Amino acid sequence: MANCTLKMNPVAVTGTGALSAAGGNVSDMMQTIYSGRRNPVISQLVRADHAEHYPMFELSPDWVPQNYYDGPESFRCGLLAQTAAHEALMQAQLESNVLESRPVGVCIGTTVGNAMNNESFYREFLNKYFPGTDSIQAYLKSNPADMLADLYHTHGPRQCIANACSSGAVAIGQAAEWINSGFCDIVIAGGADMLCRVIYNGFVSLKVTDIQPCRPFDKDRNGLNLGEGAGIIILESLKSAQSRNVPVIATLCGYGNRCDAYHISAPDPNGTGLELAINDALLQANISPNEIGFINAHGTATLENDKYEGMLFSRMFPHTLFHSTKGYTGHTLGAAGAIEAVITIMTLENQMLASSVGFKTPDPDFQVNPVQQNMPLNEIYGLSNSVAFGGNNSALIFKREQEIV
Amino acid sequence: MEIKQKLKQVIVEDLALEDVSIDEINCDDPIFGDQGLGLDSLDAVELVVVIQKHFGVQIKDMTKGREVFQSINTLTDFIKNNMG
Amino acid sequence: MFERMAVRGIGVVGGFGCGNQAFHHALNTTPQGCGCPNDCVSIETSYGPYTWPIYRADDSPLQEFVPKRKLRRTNKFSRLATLAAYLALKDAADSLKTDVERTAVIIATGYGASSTTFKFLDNVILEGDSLASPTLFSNSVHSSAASNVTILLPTHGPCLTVTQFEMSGVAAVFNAHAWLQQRRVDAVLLGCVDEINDVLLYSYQNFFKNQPPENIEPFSYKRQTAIPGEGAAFLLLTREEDSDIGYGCISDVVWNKPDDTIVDLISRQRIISAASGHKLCGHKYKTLFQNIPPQDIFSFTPLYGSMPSAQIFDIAAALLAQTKEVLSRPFVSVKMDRSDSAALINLT
Repeated sequence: MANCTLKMNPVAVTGTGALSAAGGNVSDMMQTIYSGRRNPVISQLVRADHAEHYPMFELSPDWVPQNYYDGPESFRCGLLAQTAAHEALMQAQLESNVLESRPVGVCIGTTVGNAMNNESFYREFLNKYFPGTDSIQAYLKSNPADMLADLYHTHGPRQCIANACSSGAVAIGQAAEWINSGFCDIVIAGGADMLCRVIYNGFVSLKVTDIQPCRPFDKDRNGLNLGEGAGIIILESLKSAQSRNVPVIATLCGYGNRCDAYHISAPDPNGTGLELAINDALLQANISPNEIGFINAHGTATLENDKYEGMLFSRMFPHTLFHSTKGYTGHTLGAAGAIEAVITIMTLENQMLASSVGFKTPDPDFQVNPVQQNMPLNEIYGLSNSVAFGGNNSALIFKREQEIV
Repeated sequence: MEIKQKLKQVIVEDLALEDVSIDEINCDDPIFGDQGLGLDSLDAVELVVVIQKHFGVQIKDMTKGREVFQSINTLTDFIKNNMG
Repeated sequence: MFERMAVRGIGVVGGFGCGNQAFHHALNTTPQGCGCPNDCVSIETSYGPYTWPIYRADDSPLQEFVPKRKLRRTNKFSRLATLAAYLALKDAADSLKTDVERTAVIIATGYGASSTTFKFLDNVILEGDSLASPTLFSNSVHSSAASNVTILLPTHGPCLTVTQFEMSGVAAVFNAHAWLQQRRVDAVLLGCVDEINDVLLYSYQNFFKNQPPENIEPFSYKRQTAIPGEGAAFLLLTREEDSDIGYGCISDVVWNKPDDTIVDLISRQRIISAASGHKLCGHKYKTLFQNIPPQDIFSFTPLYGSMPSAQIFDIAAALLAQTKEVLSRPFVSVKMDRSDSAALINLT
């Protein structure tokens, strides 16, 4: 099986932004993660009629943007993306005169943000109450990439990626591809997703949700907790970052995207797709597996995902530190790959790998365990994995660019 | 209709097993895996919904599911013992 | 610099039927084609029922490629995409040995798997939260078509689903170009797929409030004549250097506001217009094409209907029409949207 043959031109990360249940901005989120605290809740907003209530990592009302609850529900993913983008653009020192003066791309991953799953509209429609089409009109205006492009008056290429749970990571990878293809020098890239009844009912029906706070890689894990939020990074060609004289926080130097070709909802037990994706990313970064300093795993805490990912790490990375941060944020679906990219970049900057909250007891099915306390690092490369329903797998390798003091 | 017969019918219909004839289903054969009906993990969670919908019987988690989904016979017994 | 992409295979399924031959049959001798809707659906509204014409696609020919048992849990959205993908591969097979492991799948869709989301909600609303169907939920993600294509081919290559309404097609082409240029893969199965459902038709009736049109009139810019279509169109793309030309090459892609640069780019070219009868975009097309001689503007949308992702259909249709000597390359496919974007895909 031939691998990807071209080494990647590294792409600069010049800004990061994020919000999740762990915090309303990057700094607060990292503080929560390093503290080991977490607070999944039984949602009062997203409620369904099941025998059990499943905790979720819901955004605090203090952190959501203006009009989040007042406006149409369809706009919420876009609003979350805008909030995270604002933080990232501030750090990247990108103002409107630059954003409007050259082709700036927008590439956002989401699942709920693309879907026409406005339940209250559909209830009325199904019951023949002949609802008005305000919800439909709102849906047509709510594409998160469009909302970002409209807010910042960008005129480069824009797209929403709908790759289910790997969307956020794939959006970042594709943004880098656009830059290396010469379509644009700067891309606002990431993912955003929100909790809603369709997602809640769907995951409960699959019997993959835990009634306890989730326990990634733990022997007694019993499923995931859902979450919501957004992660955005500003990607730029190195030339653009240098000409603008802005600090390069890290570079994206490897991106793998591969499919299991196995099943619409279950991961390949051999981890084929993820292994291929990681190998592609390593080849692009021109490094070997033992140069990876740490891994931010997909680590959803489902029985299957963590088993296959754990077995893969035992095989490919037997001595590499890793964690799952879904114990702090929940599984944020289309935002997950992007939020976790931000965490990976910050881990490189801070040279500290946060503990993998929720893990206590090793699982004998695999030979490696996530870190149980914050671990100081002296590492250059970090790997972030994302795995999706239907078998799409994504791997991103980030490299620290500042000297480690 | 007898429970076993109805169970076979709803499995074929609700899991879209159009090429399977109800009469040909052997009630001791495994439902899941490569033998027998050859259903998989997604069918298993769908079957939980099917059982609840047609018989009002709840299967709380897949540990219980794996136990009762051995065959049509084991599933029929479980339904009979748990119907209200 | 834009690296040209050769179109080596085409697969189409829509209201005109299935396959390139069916498309040729539907194509009139006039360049404009005069396809028409092939079905209709009655939609209830608060002011009475309306019968809407539609372009309905039939996915049953997929069973020629995939056993019916393997399709039992797939949705029509996935089956249409898989059928067109197989047809494109088959179309290219004589001249190209595709290594499926070095083949990517990229799908552009406007509405995604909305029909499956609505079916999932039917269960939840009518039968209760605890009877939600996990099978329907798994298939209600927009990526279900791309996932099913990779499972059924099968291929371990990369895959991507792009949803950007009318700009879905051009965005997908950008990604295909990046992957081929970066040597991530040697071939890309690039397709569009969109599906009709009752909510879509209800929206059409409520937005446009007139009597449903009888035919799409892509050049009657002041009238609302759009008729929804469903279907899928796939292209098998390779780097130009790797093969004979096939149907032609995508030689450039431009995506910008319809400013003077765009006007300049389309002048002196044959235009494949994506106008499909929507009045809101109609005046934008009219303004953009005002200096183009009418005999240089073609539209194939009356053959497959109005779909947000159908710019890929436009490319497939134009290339197939070219083999019937209805028009000849070079031409440029132009699609516009409500928010003042113009997507140009050049074919030479």
